[in-house]
Amino acid sequence: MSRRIIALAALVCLAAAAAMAQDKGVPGPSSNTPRDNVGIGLGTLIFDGSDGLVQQVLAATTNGSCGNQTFAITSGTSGAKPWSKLVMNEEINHFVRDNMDTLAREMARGSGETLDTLAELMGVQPAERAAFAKDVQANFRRIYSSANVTHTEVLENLDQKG
Amino acid sequence: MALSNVRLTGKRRRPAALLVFALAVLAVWNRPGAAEVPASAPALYTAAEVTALLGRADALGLDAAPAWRILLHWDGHESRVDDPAFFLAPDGKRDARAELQATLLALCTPAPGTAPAAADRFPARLEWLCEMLGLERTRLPVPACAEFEAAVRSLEPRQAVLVFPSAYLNTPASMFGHTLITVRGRRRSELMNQAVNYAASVPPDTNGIVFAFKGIFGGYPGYYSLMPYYRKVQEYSDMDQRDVWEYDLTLDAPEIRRLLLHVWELRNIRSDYYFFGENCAYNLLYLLEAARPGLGLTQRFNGIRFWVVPLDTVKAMREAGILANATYRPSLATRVRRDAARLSPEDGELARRIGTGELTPDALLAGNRLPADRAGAVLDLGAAYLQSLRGRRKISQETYQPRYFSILSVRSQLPPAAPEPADAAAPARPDEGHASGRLTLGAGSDGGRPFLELSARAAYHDIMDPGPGYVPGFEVQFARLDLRWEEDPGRLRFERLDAIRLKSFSPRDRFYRPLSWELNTGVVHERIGHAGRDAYTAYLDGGPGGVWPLGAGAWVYGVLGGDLRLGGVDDGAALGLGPKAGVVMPVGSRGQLHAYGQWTGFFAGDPAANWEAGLEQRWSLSRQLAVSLSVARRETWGFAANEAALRVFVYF
Repeated sequence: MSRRIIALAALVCLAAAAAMAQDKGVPGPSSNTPRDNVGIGLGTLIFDGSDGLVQQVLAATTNGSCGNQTFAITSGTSGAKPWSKLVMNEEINHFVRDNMDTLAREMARGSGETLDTLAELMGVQPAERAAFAKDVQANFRRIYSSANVTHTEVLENLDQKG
Repeated sequence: MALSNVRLTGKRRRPAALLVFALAVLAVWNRPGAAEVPASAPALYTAAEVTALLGRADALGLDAAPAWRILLHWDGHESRVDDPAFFLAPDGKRDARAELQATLLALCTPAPGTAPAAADRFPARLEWLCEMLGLERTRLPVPACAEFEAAVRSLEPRQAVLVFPSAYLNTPASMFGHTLITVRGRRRSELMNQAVNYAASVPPDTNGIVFAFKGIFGGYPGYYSLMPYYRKVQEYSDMDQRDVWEYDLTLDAPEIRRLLLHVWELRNIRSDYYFFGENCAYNLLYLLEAARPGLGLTQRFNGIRFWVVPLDTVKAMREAGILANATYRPSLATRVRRDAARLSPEDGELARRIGTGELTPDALLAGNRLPADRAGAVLDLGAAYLQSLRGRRKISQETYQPRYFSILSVRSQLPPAAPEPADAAAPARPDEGHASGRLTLGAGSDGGRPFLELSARAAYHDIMDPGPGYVPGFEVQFARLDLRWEEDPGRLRFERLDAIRLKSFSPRDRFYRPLSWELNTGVVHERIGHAGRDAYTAYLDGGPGGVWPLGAGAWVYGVLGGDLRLGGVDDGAALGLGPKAGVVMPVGSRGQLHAYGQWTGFFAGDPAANWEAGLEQRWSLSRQLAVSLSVARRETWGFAANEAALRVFVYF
């Protein structure tokens, strides 16, 4: 009997929440931190943006209302065992995952801050970065192999060229 | 008795030798400092010693020290932090001395059972108390927070940066911004900086009204979070289309360490978020003050002027001397506009059609009409434009993916992009704009009657105020009061009280077509009817519109507005509708000219056809001083009059 009451209460709460959520939603994390093995493709939005004018005015006035509860120090692999595959290096994995679109655009044009950052993370020395950029541009179609390529595939493709 | 003098005879020799051997072994065994005996470890502080330390902390008045008050986020009466987990004393939120005593005790005493050590929870307090009281770390149960030390070693912090994202597209209030701090570490790339951000935790899909109410009245918990800066850049630059300013901070290495130590203490600690007061910008000030006590940043916002505008905190930091160089990071939309301006209009249009899918990359290259470098530039711009549309959710992922991929796939086969020209000028820094309060002194004539005018505005900026540092076309005004003294009949009269005036005038171009709008409300004095009777009406007006650039920094706007009046007019209320249009153009480097006209037909309540046409020329004399000359003719409910005025504006 009590289980039914709980289920009923839960349904009521869900209905109420659904009723309240008539507006499109204010900036809030939709996918907080995707697991590394879930491939992220082009056009994935980290944050659930909102379009409604009212939401925009309100969101802007309560600045910084994207309550992402991460507390992660950007750590590197200094002192740790060198990774055998790019996809296993957490720093590079997360970077490519979160910058898929900009990385693709900069690789295709052969330059850019995001591409340069990837080179740094991969250990490419500053003197070799121009050659690296030229190389990835020439190999773009192999790295970003299809329209729905995922970030793990991009990392594996980057590995193979090396 | 010397052993050499003892002569042992045969039968007693063996037991004697054994005895000598045993004595020798014992002598060696008991020699002080021998390796077999371990040295005694430094003992933890005894209860008596801890009591003495507590007494010394009192004698030194440590609980009143600014550094301690900052670590507790003290506002003068109590701590601003609301989470009980932040305090070791039961009344720690209101009693700084009790909190200090409890902290000192907890640091010197091993934590019971599996409870986390005080040193792990409050490493900043540990470090400060060790320094103030000369504590020997080896005599504490936990000498340092191992997790923190490992994280800092991995980060290798070298500089702190204050990051200020500016206005959202179409949202004037957001130009007063947001602040966050990043720390440069062992990576050279700015994108890999460590970002520290304070924000309210809001459940997704929250109703807009609930959101506003709770945001203003502290209904949401706020938390500090750490993440790689590139996530913030993506959010601000690519999705929200906000330009970002990055100010180097002059904090040295020990100060950055103190900042990080204090951030660590705030992990998962809740502090209720208040939009006006304890917002993102205010809570970041405590981190800076923890780094360098004595900056006095939070004190400026603890008094009568309690509202905290993020941009004002940036100005406060400038005055405190901790800001150095500023770097401008334009948003994706800004870069699209800039890149388009470098191409010919034809190429710009091709890029737009590439982005919208009206033109395929193959069709663009077909027939080799375009040389390779121009084709590359067109495809680059088209891809960036398309990415910005996706960031604003104007297009679904299913439509976006194949289009984006095909543009880049074709683009990659063309020669690499030319380097960006170095002449890309950054706009004026937001912290160099005029101050947010304004006082006006004016003199003029209205309907033949001379007047003197005194006006005060709490905040912030109208479209004719000095432009540098502000987004053109954005207006946010709060609490503006105009008073007039008329010679005939010699009285001081209330002229207007504007509660809020908002304008979002964003120019439309081939790439972005924002809807402009304005919204105003307040109480205004008007003379109505043929006799010119004085009337005070409450008004609410506003509506949608469009803005188009005219070149050379000039723009034209058109708004279709509704106008609701209550009180003052003959029928007690009136409702009207009508167009408003105007042109704003720069005059020289310091002036702006605004020519406008508006007409409102009131059809419900007291009918009338009100209209106004005017011209205003304003000049900035310095960053905080401006002057204007204006003329206007208006008709309100049958009463027509000309007005001319000279005004001086002082910003403070």
